[in-house]
Amino acid sequence: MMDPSAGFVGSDSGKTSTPMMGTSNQGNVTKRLQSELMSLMMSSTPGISAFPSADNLLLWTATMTGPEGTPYAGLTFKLTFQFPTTYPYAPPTVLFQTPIYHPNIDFSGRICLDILKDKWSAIYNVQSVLLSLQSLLGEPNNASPLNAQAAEIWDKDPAEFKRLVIGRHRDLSDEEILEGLS
Amino acid sequence: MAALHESPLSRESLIFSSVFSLSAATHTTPTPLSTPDLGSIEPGQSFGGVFGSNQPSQQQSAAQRQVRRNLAWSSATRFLGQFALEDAMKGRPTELRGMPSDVRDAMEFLLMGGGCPLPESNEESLVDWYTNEALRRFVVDISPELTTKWRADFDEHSTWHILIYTTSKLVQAHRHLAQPLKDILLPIISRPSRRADDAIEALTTLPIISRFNRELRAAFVQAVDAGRFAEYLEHLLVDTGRKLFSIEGRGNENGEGPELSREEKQKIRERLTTLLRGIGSIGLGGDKSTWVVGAAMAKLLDNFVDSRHMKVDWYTRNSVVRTLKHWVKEGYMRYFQEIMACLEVESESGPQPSSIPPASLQRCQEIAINRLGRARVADLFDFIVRWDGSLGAIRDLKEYITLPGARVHLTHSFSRQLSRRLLHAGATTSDILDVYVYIIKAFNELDPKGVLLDRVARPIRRYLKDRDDTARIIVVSLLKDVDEIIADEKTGRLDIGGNVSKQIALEMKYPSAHALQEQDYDLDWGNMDWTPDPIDAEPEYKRSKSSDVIASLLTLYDREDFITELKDILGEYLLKYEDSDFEKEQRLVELFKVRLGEDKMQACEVMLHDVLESKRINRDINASINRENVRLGSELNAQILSSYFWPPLREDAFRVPQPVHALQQRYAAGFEGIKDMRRLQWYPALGQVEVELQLQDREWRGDCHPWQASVVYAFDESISSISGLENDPGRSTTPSRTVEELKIMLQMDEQLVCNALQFWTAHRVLVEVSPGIYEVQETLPADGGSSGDKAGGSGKSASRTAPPLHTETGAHVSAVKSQEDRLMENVDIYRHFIVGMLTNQGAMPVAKILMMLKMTMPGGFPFGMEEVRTLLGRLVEERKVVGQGDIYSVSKG
Repeated sequence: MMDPSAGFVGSDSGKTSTPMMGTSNQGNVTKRLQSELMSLMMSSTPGISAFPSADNLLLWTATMTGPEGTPYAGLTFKLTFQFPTTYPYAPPTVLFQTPIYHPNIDFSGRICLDILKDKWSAIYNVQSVLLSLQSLLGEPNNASPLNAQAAEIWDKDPAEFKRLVIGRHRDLSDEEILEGLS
Repeated sequence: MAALHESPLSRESLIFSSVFSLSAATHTTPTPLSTPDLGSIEPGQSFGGVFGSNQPSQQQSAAQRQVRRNLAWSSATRFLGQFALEDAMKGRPTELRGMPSDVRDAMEFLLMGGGCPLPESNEESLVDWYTNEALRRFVVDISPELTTKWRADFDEHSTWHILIYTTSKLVQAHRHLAQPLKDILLPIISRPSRRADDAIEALTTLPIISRFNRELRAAFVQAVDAGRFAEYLEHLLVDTGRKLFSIEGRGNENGEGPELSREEKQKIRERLTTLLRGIGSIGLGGDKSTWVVGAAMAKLLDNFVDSRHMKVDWYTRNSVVRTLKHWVKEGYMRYFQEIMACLEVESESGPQPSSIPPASLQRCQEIAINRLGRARVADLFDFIVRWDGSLGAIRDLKEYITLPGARVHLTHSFSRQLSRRLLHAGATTSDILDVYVYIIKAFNELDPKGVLLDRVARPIRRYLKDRDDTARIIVVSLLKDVDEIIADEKTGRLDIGGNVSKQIALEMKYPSAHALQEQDYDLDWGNMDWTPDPIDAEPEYKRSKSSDVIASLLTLYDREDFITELKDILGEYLLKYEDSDFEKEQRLVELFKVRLGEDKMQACEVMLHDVLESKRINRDINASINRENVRLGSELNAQILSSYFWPPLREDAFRVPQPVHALQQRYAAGFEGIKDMRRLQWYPALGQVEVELQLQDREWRGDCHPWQASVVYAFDESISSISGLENDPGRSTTPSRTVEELKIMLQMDEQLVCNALQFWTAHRVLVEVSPGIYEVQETLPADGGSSGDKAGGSGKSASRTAPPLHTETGAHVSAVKSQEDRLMENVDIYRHFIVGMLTNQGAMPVAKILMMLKMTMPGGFPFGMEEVRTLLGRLVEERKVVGQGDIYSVSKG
């Protein structure tokens, strides 16, 4: 779905997005995101964190640590959130910037998660999305894998899976994070 | 002639002549006299014979003429060839006199008789031959010497010498070479026309002379190095001009030579004239030297503008433009004319008109003003900073900006100076504001239309807006008493952190010229001084209504920002100076009302009204209290503030001394009597107390904050801490108190307790006997008495009228909540934001953190870099963040 007024390519779940566009909505998005940011900052849930980029309030970077007891434990992941101007009626586009080996995440960081697609609802927010993603790391949905190999290995050989996860993971430098934002 | 044959040049000419038979050299060899001309015979005629025809045929006569011409040529050239240039140059008499008659005949024959070159023949005329001969001689005899001379290195000082030498040499050469032509050949040519009048003679001889001269001059020009000649001539002209106009050089400004006397100047002038005439006569002047003169004159003008004649007039503050124009007219142009007249002495266009055409004079003056203007503009920033002593410099510019391109140059150049010298982090905001005030004043003088000001002020205004403390400084400065500032300056005491712009404060002293300017300039049809907007005004340009400084400053900000700041500061001021009549404040509020709109200033008006009304209420209530109850002794004045309109105030509550409390209650009762149904809420921290302490050996008297008074009073209360009657006599034990005790006793914040203890320790009323324990310091054992004469607390009533008191805001603790307090209130949120930001966006510099905070924080982030650094400093201490220079990032692990 194209939103010409914002020049932003939204997620492909156009059904749930309410056709509210234009500049008047921009203020609402900004307000909503500001309050989300505030609550996120104040709650300070361990392991997740997010913040808008320097020049665009609609583009956030999030940081997430892998949950304990999963192959991702101790690893840090960077994600980007691109909010459409119709947010929160349309979901943000969430991408993993850090390379990750996961059944539901492809090699360019795209995520297969229902709440980011057709199950999106305006009651979700950055925090809930991040928490969902964190739990997705521990409990992949192997029924609809984006990375079939990963799905297979996850079931068969946990040790090999962990090895592949570690092998693929790489901390991004600051420059790379900025690149991901552009 | 022997010398001639040896010289390479003559060999060349020999070769040349072997091909081209008519070269001058060949004709010096006479045709042999003995060879008879036999003539030739027409076909069909008998050859010779006694009876042959005596009458020469045409061919015969042509042949005979040829012979005769050859003979005559030979004798004439031989005679002329005797003339020795070298001898002549050395002053030896030349051998031209006593011309033999056969030579004369020969010449006459060649010049005027049958020997004249026939048309369509390639015979050479004697004049041409002589011209060539003269050139040859010049090239052979004189040119080498000159060339060597010019090739040699010489410095500036020998300019005169080399030019005079060259010129005189060439003039001499010219004279001598032209002499035979004039003395011998021309008289012969012009003889037949002797009968006719002189005009005809001139007609025949002038072309010959001028042609001769032209040829010779061409040779002269070849002989000297044209580039260097121009260089020296230019230097000479500039140098002479500087001497004549007493322009000191840049180099020797310190050792300024004595001004030359009139006679000396005259001498220099004559010397120059002679030289220039010479240059003109030898053909080095004229068109060729025009550009040299031009360059020299331009340089001279520059020199003059840089000279002390054109110094800024710091004393009488007048423009020097008049002087400049006069100089251009009377000195510069005259000098120029003189030079040109000398150089063009033989130009064909005839003598120049002696008066200067007004157009060129005006043009020249414009150029001069342009130079002066550019010189002034280059230092404009310095002039502005030294306003208004530099008024003269600004006035100098007034004429300059009427010239085309000048306004653009001025704004561009000045903007550059501003951004380089003022609009950077090194300049304090009050300095920038001061300069801005100067700029406004100076540019109003310069360009009353305000277009230039509009242009140059924009970058400053933009920059000032970015500074956090601008609004505060403006408002504080407007409220500040100038005399106070000046007194501070005299005593060398720094005023509150240099946060006051003296110029703005000064500005408030002047009566507002506001009302007078209200009339619309462009719609005032009766205004005879009306002029259109300057050309660089934008089509929509409208002069801002009031050009005065204050108005410019007030429009600097968004209204809301300004009003918020104004409320804070005004509040503080009103509470601080409760004794004054608030004239200044009233005027300021009125001023703001005009600028910002009446509705916006409602809060400030209410504040002002509050304090004024409080005075009245104080008077009433105190009068009634006094009437019925005199024994309280102390007097309580309150400020009743409408809390809704006031900025957030200090709310620290503590227990005030009993008598004060009684007074408060009494006052509140009185207030409720006057203002029906309104309750007072006391703000004890905002007040001022006049304290008189009776110590054993001394008295202490002074003003202090209520909490300070309360703390010192607590030392008096040691025995009867509940009843707390003052002046309890017979106290002999000196009570000691700890901070903790005082905190509980007074229900006061530790911060305030410590502040008060420090205050009293500093005044040597209390002494810290051991850490955290204080006692009254009575040098001799005696009782410490304290009395709160006045006290109060600011309050706000639950409704909306408000409470009372007397306030003195201290240097450390201000009545209105300070930025710092607000920062600390929200410190947790800010810290979370910073950590979140750095976690997700990676390392960043402080400026960017500040920017992000301002952007993302709901309600904004009203602080600056300093506060952010403080926050970061704490985070670094907590090891959450690491800083590297100005760049901070989250600490790993």
